[in-house]
Amino acid sequence: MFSKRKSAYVGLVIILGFIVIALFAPWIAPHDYRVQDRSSIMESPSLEYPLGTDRVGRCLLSRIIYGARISLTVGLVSVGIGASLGLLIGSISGYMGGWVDRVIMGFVDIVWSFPTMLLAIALTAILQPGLQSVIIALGLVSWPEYARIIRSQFLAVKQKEFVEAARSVGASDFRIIKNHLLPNSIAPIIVVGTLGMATAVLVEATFSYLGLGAQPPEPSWGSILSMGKDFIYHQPLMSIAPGLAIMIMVLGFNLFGDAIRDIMDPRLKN
Amino acid sequence: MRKANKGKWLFFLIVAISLVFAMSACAPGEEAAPPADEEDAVEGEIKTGGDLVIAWDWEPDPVIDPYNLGWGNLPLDIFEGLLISDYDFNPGPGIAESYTFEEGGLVQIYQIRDDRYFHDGTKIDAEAVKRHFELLIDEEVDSMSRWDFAFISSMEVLDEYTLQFNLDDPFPAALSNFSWAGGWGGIQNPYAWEEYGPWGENTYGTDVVVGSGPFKFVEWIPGDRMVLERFDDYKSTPIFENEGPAYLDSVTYRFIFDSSTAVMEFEVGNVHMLETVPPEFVEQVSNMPGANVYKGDSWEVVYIGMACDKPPFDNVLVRRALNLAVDQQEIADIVWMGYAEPAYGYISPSFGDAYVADRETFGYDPEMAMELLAEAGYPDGFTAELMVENRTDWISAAEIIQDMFAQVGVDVEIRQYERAGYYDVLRAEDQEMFIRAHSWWGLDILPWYFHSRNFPYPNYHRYVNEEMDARFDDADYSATYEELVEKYRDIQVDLAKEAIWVPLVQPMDIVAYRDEVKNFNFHPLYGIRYNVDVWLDE
Repeated sequence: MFSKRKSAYVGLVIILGFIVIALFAPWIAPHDYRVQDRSSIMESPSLEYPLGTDRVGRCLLSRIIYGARISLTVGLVSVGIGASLGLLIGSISGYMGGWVDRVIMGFVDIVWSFPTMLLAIALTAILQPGLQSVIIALGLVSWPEYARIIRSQFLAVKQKEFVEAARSVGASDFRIIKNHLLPNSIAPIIVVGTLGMATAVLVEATFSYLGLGAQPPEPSWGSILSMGKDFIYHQPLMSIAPGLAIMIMVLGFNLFGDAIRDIMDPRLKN
Repeated sequence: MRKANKGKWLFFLIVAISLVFAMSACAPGEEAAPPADEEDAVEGEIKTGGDLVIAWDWEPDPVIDPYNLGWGNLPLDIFEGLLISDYDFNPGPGIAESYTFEEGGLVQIYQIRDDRYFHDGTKIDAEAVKRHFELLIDEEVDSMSRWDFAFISSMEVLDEYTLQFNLDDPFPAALSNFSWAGGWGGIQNPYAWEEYGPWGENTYGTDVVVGSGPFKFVEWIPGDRMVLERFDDYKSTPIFENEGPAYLDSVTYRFIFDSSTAVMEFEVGNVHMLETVPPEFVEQVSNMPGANVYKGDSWEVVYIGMACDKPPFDNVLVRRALNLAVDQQEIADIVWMGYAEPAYGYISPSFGDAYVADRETFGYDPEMAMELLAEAGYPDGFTAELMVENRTDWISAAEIIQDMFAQVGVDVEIRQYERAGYYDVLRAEDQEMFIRAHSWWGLDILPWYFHSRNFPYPNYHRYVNEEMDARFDDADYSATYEELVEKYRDIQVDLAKEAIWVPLVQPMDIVAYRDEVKNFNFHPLYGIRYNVDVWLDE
């Protein structure tokens, strides 16, 4: 149990660390991430540029620092969209039951049968490359998971006595869902959402690596990595630094998500 | 119009004025070819067999068919033209062994070789060649290359191997177009096309391709590779040392779009040749054991195109201002790492006399740029979209340009697309500004891009000017090559003032080959795509 907590702390510290970096980027970063010092192209680390410079002379460290904003924003917003949609649809499905439930779950099965990455790439292609498209695409492909979970929670919780009691005193459907069902069903969503953040960070990096995500000069880790791979012999930090940043952030979300799942799983309690 | 189309118009000089010209007389001397290793040339040591693997960073699109040329060019190993240019740009025998011009070039008589076959065994005679050109200029076939052979008003088969072309007006570019085997000049079996093409089974260009070059088409796996096999009945032409057939058993073109992957495959020996070595890899490839790097001037010009009919780009002052905002030298030095020259015209200086540079319009003067923008009614600049294909060099160039434009108040949003998506945007006519390149070696590139008959594609700069149309048509049908060059020089002077592009750089041609590849000669027109003399020492 304690070991699980410890990894939760490690994960939490990593996540908080990145949040602090993202929030205070303008003060932490030594340079503006957009400013091109074209007399210092692909320089090795120095006092002025602690991680060196990229292909057009921008401070690599500053770009990595600002890149945390992009990763976290994409993670939060896309999980937000996915979870909200999932909550809404899953709640309706689980609460109403019957043919509504069957229709909605049939639709969930259809959406789920698409390969997530392919569906997201198709959506980005339709929407025009850019971060908003990645966020929307991620949100639109991730909601079925949340919907499924919230539905199964509702199915279990709505049989409980306190729900019966609320219904017997004449509480409206909305009130029952808001005050009784949702609070008792939300825990698993937090776990899935945290792990979903890790996925979102990876997917954003993948999209930006492919040129479908953040557009220049936005410093997405994926696009820095994509540019860096061709210069691995000239400036290896251009690929190593964003790669490490992605790895550590994903590790943070995974550790934290795994740990809270274990903590909240009643079967693992003693 | 992709890379590695090499060539020169210079050779018209030699031919346009001659009435009778025996082509065997202009076979290249040994010194014409770039020097090969001496020991390679020693006879008797040549080994036959082997599979030569060449990495391409592009792929033919949509099919391999001279009647349906899309964005890519053709694998030259499959096709030969009526003529083939030697290493000095002189047209030499291809499928034709000689030609004579009469009536000031209005009658052109070609003697077809009697020992040539298509890959499917069909004998090549005057009738087959005539049918090929009939299809090429047929309105129903609707080939994009139709205009390049529109000078043919009629054809007559004089005997089994003699074909006469009749022209209404002189057309100095005829010999050039007949020599461009990698594109519209590539002669294919017209009967096979009729059987398997869009009028027949519709498998031509993907499953069936019938040319007459040193290698025959075996298979094309899209996104992966194209395999060609030696054509045993191939009879070579004097520009090659080998009289035919080729020494190699087969040639495989591998489509590797990611340059770091291509370089790694080259390093471990899975690929023998790289058709393109990106500047950032030149040093590394040069230092690899067993690797050779060839660098030479190219025909390529990288530029920013603008949609000339959409505001604010419909205002020539804006287009000029954007030109003055860009420092080409810096882009050449940083992005191309010195393996490029700044560009100040629509075509490459490789054109020699025909090349016109305009350093005033295409130069660098940010203050003047701001003045022009103010005069055009945009004192605070404007916002626009810059579209770029997803290649690291072009993206870096776009980022620098974005910064340079910002200095004069123009706010540019960059959008990256992978190649297919990029073409879709151009075809959908959604472009504002876009980075493109061409490596065409004929002056017909100017009407190709700027003639209104080619609107909206390939005139995706959306430049329409009736006066220019008339001048293009007039120039193409000049009586002599000198006159044609003179007219195109004048056209370029005025086109430069229109500032349709922001010319960026003229990159060098950089090719790499491994030590096992023997007797390799870089052809200034066809690049590395005729592998008749090449053999492998493995």
